[in-house]
Amino acid sequence: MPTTTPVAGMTLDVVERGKGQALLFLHAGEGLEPQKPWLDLLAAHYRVIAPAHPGYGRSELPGWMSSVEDLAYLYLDLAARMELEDAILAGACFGGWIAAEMAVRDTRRFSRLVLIDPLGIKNGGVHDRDIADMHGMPREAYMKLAWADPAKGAIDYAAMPETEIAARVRGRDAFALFGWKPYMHNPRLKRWLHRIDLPTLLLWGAQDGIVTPAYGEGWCDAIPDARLEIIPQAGHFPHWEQPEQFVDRLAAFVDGKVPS
Amino acid sequence: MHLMYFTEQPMSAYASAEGLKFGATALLFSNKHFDPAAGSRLYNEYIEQYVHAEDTGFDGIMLNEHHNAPFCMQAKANIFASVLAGVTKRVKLVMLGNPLPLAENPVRLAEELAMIDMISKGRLVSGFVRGGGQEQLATGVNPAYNRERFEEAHDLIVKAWTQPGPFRWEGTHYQHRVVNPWAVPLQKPYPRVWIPGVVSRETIVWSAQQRYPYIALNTSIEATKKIWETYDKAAAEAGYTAGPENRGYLQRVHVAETEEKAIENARQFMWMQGEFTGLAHPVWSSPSGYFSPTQRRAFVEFASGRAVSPRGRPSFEQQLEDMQIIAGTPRTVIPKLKRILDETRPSIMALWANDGAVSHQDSMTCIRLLAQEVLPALREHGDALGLKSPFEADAPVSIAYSKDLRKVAAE
Repeated sequence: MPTTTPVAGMTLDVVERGKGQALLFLHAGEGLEPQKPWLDLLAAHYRVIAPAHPGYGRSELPGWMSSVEDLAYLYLDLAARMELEDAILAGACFGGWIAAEMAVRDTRRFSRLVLIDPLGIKNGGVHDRDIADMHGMPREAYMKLAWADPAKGAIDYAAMPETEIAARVRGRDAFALFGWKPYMHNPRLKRWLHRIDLPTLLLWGAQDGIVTPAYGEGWCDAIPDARLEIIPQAGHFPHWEQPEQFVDRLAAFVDGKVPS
Repeated sequence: MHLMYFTEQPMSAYASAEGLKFGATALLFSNKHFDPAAGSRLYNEYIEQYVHAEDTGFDGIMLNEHHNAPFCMQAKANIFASVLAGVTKRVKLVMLGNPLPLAENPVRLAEELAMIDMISKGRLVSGFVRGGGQEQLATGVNPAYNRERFEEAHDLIVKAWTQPGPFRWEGTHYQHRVVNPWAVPLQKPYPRVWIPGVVSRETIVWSAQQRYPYIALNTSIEATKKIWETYDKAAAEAGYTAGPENRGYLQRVHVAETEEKAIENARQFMWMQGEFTGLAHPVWSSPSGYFSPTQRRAFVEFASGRAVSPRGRPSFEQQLEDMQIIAGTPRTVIPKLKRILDETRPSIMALWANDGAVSHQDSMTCIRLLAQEVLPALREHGDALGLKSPFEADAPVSIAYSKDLRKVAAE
């Protein structure tokens, strides 16, 4: 069960599992999905700390909070409050964007950065769409772009309790709030990625149509000590679509192993 | 009663086959299908129709705006209001309305509206809307801030209209070093504000709290009664009793010389509803963040197959049956419109008369028949029911200018 944790004058829903080196996991725009396998797989190696972003789950969304910068400071506060040392900072999709915004500000509590298909930067020109317009397309079209196998991501709303449906919709609203304009990126973030002084692993789903592996290369070029690994048979959520591969690659990176 | 003429100003002059092929005629349907020569003709026909509505006896002309969609050619209602302020003499110019959340500079909007009020010699009714979900995508405004921006822009505009400048405004969404527009409205304390809407409970309650009339946009009779229940309750809590002067209703109605012609033309109301060309993907009308918690719940229930769509569209025949659309000769439509008045008791009524590809000539005939044969019957019936418009009742412009408020016990 998640616990309610006070931080920065608000309360956050935080899932904590496992023991050992701390790993702060920042979830995707779709939500935390704590019942899905990757948190447990990670918890076999690490002490996983996974907050629900403000507006998701039971986490508060204070009226003043509206930017990814706010979220970056919030989680830096959380890391300080939990007295994390030598921790792994990992974020997927929207969570990857937040993790990068944290890492350009303050990395002292972290020793590794893992970004999984992150949103958040602009590579192309004014007519280029770096990030698919998730909010301007029918769900079916979105699923085709976001998944190598859309069937794996299908959600049975009919079998879901009303409270869970309401929580999910609330999360989607929060996602729009934080990322609507500029669409899911900070035009200045790429300029500051050179400040990231952690070994960084970029994990990318080979079939990601929301942000493509080519977009990932833009990240890789801008972060000084970064490498990009492609996970086959995965789309925008490789941790969800290929959880074992995701955890194996993350663990190998943390152990300092270079992939063959 | 205050009886207004309304048309969406459809831009039906494009290849409808292209719309069918694309599967939608909004937002991403390319504007290469727009024909400015036809646009020029249509804009001028619409002006002629509005002038005809004044000449034949309507009290007001209702204007609105939409973006990136052929169903409405008005991209900026203030432009048509400006034209009509100059070319008409008597009718109220009822803007329902300016989409406040889309405004980047509400002070500019306050100035434009003040100019329209002065040019029209005090005939402006300045309605405000939140803008449909699709408008948020068309203009790139964050839907999650829709209500906040609506309320902040409204407060800023009313202050700019009523308090001498210069003053400073450092809000959440709008920041102005100096608010001091030289142009201010002719009408005092400020032009009447009416708020149109369809489903949003929050907007109904907000309108009642402001004491602004709420205009129900072609909602079913049952839904309309529920709207008034919600409004009346919020009004009582604010310290006044709501009456017909707080209620408006928009009704689709087309009249012609014969029943057959009227039905044929009324079928064009389905054009806007997308029957002929498709309209929009549902996701465009309900982007994340746009809806209030109660509404998004309704959409989720629909998405999960537990409920019918809150925006579901019944067939043309069903809509005729339910009087969502009324069509016929004046003789046959009058009893139906009277029934609408009996059931919904509005003092403000907008007649949405022409849509889709109804010809200019048929539109002019419809306007003439409505004004000369239908409006007198509605006025008489409205008088018998005591449906006094805000003008006839001399209702306060807003809660802040009300002198009859009861003390409400603090909660």
